[in-house]
Amino acid sequence: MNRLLSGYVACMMISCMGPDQETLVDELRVMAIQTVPAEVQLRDFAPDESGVVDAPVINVVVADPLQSGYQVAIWPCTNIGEGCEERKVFEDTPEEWVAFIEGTESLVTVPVLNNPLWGALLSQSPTPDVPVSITSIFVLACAPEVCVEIQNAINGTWDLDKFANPLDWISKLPLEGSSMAIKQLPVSNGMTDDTRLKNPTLIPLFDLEEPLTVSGVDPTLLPFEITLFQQDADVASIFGYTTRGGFARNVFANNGLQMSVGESAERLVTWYADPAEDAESGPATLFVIVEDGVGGTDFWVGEGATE
Amino acid sequence: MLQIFGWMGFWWQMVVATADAEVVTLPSVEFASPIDYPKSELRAGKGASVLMQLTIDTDGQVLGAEILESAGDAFDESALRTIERYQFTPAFDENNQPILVQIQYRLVFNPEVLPPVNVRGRALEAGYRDPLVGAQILATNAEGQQVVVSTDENGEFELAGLSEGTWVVDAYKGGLISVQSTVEVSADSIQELNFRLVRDQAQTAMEEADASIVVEAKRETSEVSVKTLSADQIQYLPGSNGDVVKAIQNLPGIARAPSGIGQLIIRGTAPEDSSFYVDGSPAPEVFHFGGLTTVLSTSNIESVQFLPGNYSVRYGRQLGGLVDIQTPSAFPDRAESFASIDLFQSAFFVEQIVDDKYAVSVSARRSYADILAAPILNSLGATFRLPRYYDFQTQLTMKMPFGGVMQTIFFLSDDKFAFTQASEEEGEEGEETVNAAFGVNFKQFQLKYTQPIYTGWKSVFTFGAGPQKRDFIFDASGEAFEQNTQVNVRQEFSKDLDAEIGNAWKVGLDINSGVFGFNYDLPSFPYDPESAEITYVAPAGYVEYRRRGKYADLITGMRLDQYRLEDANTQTALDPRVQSRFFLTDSLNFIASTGLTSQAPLPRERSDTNDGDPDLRPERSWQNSFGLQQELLGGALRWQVIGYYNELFDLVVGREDRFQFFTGPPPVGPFDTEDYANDGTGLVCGSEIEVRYTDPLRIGLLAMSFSHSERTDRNGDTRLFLYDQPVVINALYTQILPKNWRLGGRVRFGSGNPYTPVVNRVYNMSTRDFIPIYGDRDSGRLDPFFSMDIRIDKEYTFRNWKLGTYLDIQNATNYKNVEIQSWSYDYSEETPVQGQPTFPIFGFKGEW
Repeated sequence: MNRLLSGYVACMMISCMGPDQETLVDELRVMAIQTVPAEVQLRDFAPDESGVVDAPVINVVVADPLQSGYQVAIWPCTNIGEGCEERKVFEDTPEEWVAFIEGTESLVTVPVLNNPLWGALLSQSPTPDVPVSITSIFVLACAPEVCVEIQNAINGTWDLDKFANPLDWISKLPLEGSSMAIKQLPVSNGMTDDTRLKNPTLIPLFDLEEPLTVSGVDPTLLPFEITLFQQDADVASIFGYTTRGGFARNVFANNGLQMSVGESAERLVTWYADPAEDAESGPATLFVIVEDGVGGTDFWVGEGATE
Repeated sequence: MLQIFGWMGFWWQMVVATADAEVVTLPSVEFASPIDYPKSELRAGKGASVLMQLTIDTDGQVLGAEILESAGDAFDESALRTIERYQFTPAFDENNQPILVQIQYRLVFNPEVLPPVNVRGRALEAGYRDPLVGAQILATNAEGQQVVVSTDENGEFELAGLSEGTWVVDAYKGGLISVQSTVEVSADSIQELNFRLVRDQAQTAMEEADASIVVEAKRETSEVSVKTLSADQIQYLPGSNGDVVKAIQNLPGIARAPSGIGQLIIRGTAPEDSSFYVDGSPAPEVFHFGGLTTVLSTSNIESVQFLPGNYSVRYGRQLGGLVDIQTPSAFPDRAESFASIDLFQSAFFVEQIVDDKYAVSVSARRSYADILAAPILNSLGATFRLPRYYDFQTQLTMKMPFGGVMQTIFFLSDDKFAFTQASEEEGEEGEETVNAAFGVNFKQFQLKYTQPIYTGWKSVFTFGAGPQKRDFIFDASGEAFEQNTQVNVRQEFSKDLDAEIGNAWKVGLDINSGVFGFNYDLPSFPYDPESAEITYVAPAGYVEYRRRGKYADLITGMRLDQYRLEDANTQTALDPRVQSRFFLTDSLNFIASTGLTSQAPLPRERSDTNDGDPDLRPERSWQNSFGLQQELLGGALRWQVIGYYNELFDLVVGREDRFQFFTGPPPVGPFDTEDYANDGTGLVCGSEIEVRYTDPLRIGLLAMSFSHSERTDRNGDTRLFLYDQPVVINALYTQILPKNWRLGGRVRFGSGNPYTPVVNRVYNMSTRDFIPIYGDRDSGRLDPFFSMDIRIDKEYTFRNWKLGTYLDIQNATNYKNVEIQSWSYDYSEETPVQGQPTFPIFGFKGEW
């Protein structure tokens, strides 16, 4: 009787609070874009005393559940009405504007471009040390041979109109095998780290050496320690995605972390197996992402399996 | 010639006229039924005699009677009724065999010599209790003797001259079920006997062989393209749920509106480009939410005129078609009342006639889906209020001097739909916060005064006024509303055709004015706040001349519209129109029409306080139509084929990124966000085929519309119109069955509406949701629509009232129709929003 009751309760939990199909990633998708640090300051591109430039970087997380490999193009776009202004700036050196990565890894990293437009635009701002989101980071991930323009650019033949008008470009690409993502990049002329926007931190509190598995109706709870550094932390949320099974429902408003700025707290994300009877079990890639609502991001990518 | 005289004081003569054999023994009267003396003649003390030629068979029965010497219709009819009940002895030949003979017989009406009355009574129609005039009352005794009389104008009758004993009395009246009763007749008393006859719809239909529910344009009407629906039987059409106005959606020229809109899409134009009128005065709204039902009670509607295009110059200010609802124009014969209840709503209608000079009616209706369903749904966690609506009408009709009639009607309607949330504040138990709500309400007063002024000429004055408001609330901080308080005045003088060949005129002044206020302040949406209050006046004058000759009917008219708006330049539009009908044969007509119409831009589009353009011109439409019409089988079968070609020009385009109330799914980009301009054009063309069969027992209609509607923007890019439906086919059939049953079915098929497909998407990392990337605007098309509706009616009649019951099953096959296109959360799959599933509506209606 108790087993029946517990089974009923578990079923109810799954039906009401169980895996959300929207957390299942079953196609090529850009999962997260993180700039480190969260706010780019123009001084970041100045060489230090030893002459080394410690430029900010862009981390891009890509899910490739089909494991067919992909090509990624990453480029900034400052659009003030007629497409990306960078097109004019980098007409002759587009390879400095757009970075390409090919591979199967979940995480790719490229340096942030020292964009000459920022200086001109920030010079017109009355408060240049306050970050403004004048530039967007575009990331286009394509399965092999889907985005011919990427391959052509890698080969040195550029169709700059495509990169200058990314929304027009994506409208011409097939829905399957292409994934475009956009994130606004806060940029300032600030001179100190004190007021600089910072990414939150997301640290797994479970044993990373132990294989992560989930089976049946019993979810696997994944504890994380989260620390927020932004002023508007009340809108920070945590999201889970997986290539097999599913996480509890991800809703920006409902996944609020409800924690104070500057403090660390433990939060759980709940990973379920696919409750369908004919669901296939197997390896899964897990993505847990924290967004602080003002541009700060952190993520964790791990491997697991459903049984 | 042989004459025989005398029986019961009536003189008669008898003549042997013809017989093959020699007549030896003449017929003699065995039983003389008492005369059914005409009541009016009896009261006047008039006497008369009627000479008839009778055919008497070998049993002595009267096989036939023919009037040879008339004494007037009343006496003649009475004589024929009486003589049918006579019993003669047969004539015999020389072999003593009975033979058929013809004789002449004179029946004499003498008011001084009447048999005593034995039975007296009254015959009424059960339910309505109307006196039955001319009902036959037949009394028969055990010997087979028969006496027949008919009821007078009060339904009363008297049976006289009955012998003592048991008589069986039958009451007959065409269209009603006969009733039989038994009475014991004695010489010293008068028996009372009353009848209530139940009407049988099938019998009535057969009696009223020339009745018709749908009257197509005939030579009598002034409009070439008008289609008029009467309220009588149209309310029984399947799928219309008894609603008269909804029934016009079966006609060709009307596309199917997506479920929940409740508007008319006429000949490829937007719902806001067509107009509704009540007695020729613009009406604010006609349908409640979702098009469930008309805001006017069916009892307040006499007929509905549908004009899809090329209409008279008395109508203007719209690019599309129009629907004109006619309230009862004649003084009612009797006061009617009803109360009804069904799955959606309850309603009542009460009418009273005072001094045979005033007729007053009051009706109201309220839906209660909110009351029934909201508690159940809210207990499941939902927090919303289902659509609720109510309406009210009161009408006063007065007879005026010199043949005039004045009608006033006041009607109001209020619709509301809301998502709410219980207040979490302490001490505010029971209070709710409105998350989102939508409402439409209006009040309208109308006066119509019709006065004959000269031979063939009449004056019609119409006045209408009232406020209309629709509002949208989103979150506690956002509200958008539009409020239009308008006054409409029309004075028209007209002279109708008074002969098959002749002239007719129509001259009128039509003024539309008011104050249009709006406020769009929705912080949750990406629209800039806007608000204004703008006055407008739109006077128009028109003149129309009609000449009907032997071979053709020609109507030419001219309408001049002026559009005046506060802080905007006055614009004018001159709209000439011509309608013609050529009589190819007695039943076959060729029709051809052409003309211009105009429509003012929206006030906000012309108001410079809201970035409008004060120089915007009226939008225009050049409408052309031609076709053939024919009536066959004495008018029972009618068909018509109409082709039309309408060009739209000077259409206002721009500012599509601003808030507006949509009549359907909101359009999706790419939007024209430039300033307003008269740079849009459009083309609508198509053909409409209609085949209709009506007889007293059945209605059959096949309506097919084939059309193409497109719009071209300021850049010259052409796309399909939002509601372009190339094929719409409606077929319906209704049959009246015995015992007051009625069965009907309707099948509808229509092309799906265009929609803008999503071709890809962009993942927005800031909000972690997907931004759709749309393809060419309106380049996709939803799946076709199909629905089969079934309706069954049964009427029960009681002594003092009637009970109508019906079952209206909409989408009986539960076809999964797509109403709106939607997408999965990542836009990787289309997830269409389906329309109404099988929906049975059971209802009652009591009338008295």
